[in-house]
Amino acid sequence: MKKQRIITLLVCLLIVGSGAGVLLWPRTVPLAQCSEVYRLYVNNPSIKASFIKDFRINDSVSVDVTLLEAVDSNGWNTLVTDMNLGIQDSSTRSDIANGMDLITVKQVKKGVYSKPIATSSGNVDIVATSHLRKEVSIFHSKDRKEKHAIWFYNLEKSINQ
Amino acid sequence: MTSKPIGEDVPVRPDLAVEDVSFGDLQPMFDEQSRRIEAVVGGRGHLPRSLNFAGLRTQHRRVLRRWCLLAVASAAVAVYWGIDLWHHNFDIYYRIFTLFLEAVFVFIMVDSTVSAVSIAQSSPVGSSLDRISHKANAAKPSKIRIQNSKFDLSRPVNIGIAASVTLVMVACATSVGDGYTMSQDHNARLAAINSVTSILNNI
Repeated sequence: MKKQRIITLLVCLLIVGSGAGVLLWPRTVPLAQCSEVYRLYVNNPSIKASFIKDFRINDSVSVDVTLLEAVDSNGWNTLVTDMNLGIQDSSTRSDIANGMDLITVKQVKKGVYSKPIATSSGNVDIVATSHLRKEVSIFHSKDRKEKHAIWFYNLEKSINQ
Repeated sequence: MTSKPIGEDVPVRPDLAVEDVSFGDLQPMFDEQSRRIEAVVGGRGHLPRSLNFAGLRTQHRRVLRRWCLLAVASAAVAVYWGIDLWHHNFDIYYRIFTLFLEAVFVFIMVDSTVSAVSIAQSSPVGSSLDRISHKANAAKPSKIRIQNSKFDLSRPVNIGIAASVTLVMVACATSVGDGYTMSQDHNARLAAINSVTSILNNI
């Protein structure tokens, strides 16, 4: 009888453990499913990397997004160098220094973030940078529909309003 | 030859030869019945299953064995799905489908656990599975009652528990919001989503 109770307890614990695992598991994207650029910077202490799976652009389009935030100047310098985010114009630089934000957007080939490309293909990454907040958002588009939804996000939003 | 009035007792003396013949015919039958009774009392006989109380413990063990097998099978399936999710697909529909399948196992587990708890409490036993497959083997009540307890676990209750667990799992899997992040930290997830939304609003 005692043995049966122990088995009962163990299986109850197994059920509760499985339930807890199922509840927690889907919320976390496994590292293997995260983007390459996220895996590149996730262990860099100067850069805070985040990966968002299925970020909703509109009712029918969701894309994966990698967010890179520079924690310090070293991190920002690394991002600027790796992704070629430097601003040549001195007046723009001074505006940013005075607290004005500048958002730059470029379309790049997947995995090659330094060089913008002009292509009609939808299988590209769109790199949007906030120079004031020192944040880089990389939208991983897989087809033209997703790319269109990202580029015309504000336009569609204003039309729907 | 004397005659007696009707209603008076008449002593009857059976013919000795006739008596011997009658009991001589019945004797093999009596011997056979005696042999059967002795076999039953000695544990070698076969009573109808409904009266075979000795077999009840064996049936409990059978139920318990099946219950353990289900537990192992459920754990194996959970591990398989975990590996599958890790390596292949992270699609929301795929996740819901796997959760549905998992819910079926949860139902079986809950049902079997109720049965096992009943066994542990030495009460009338029978999960719904057991009732389905062993209806003829044992007379079981439609409700499982645990003696000296306020529990009243029946099959609808088991289904209700499994359905609740399923609903919780599906709700937790689908109501995360705009996306799934690498982090369990809710605040970090929210901050990342807000940052991306902010940038997207300014493109």
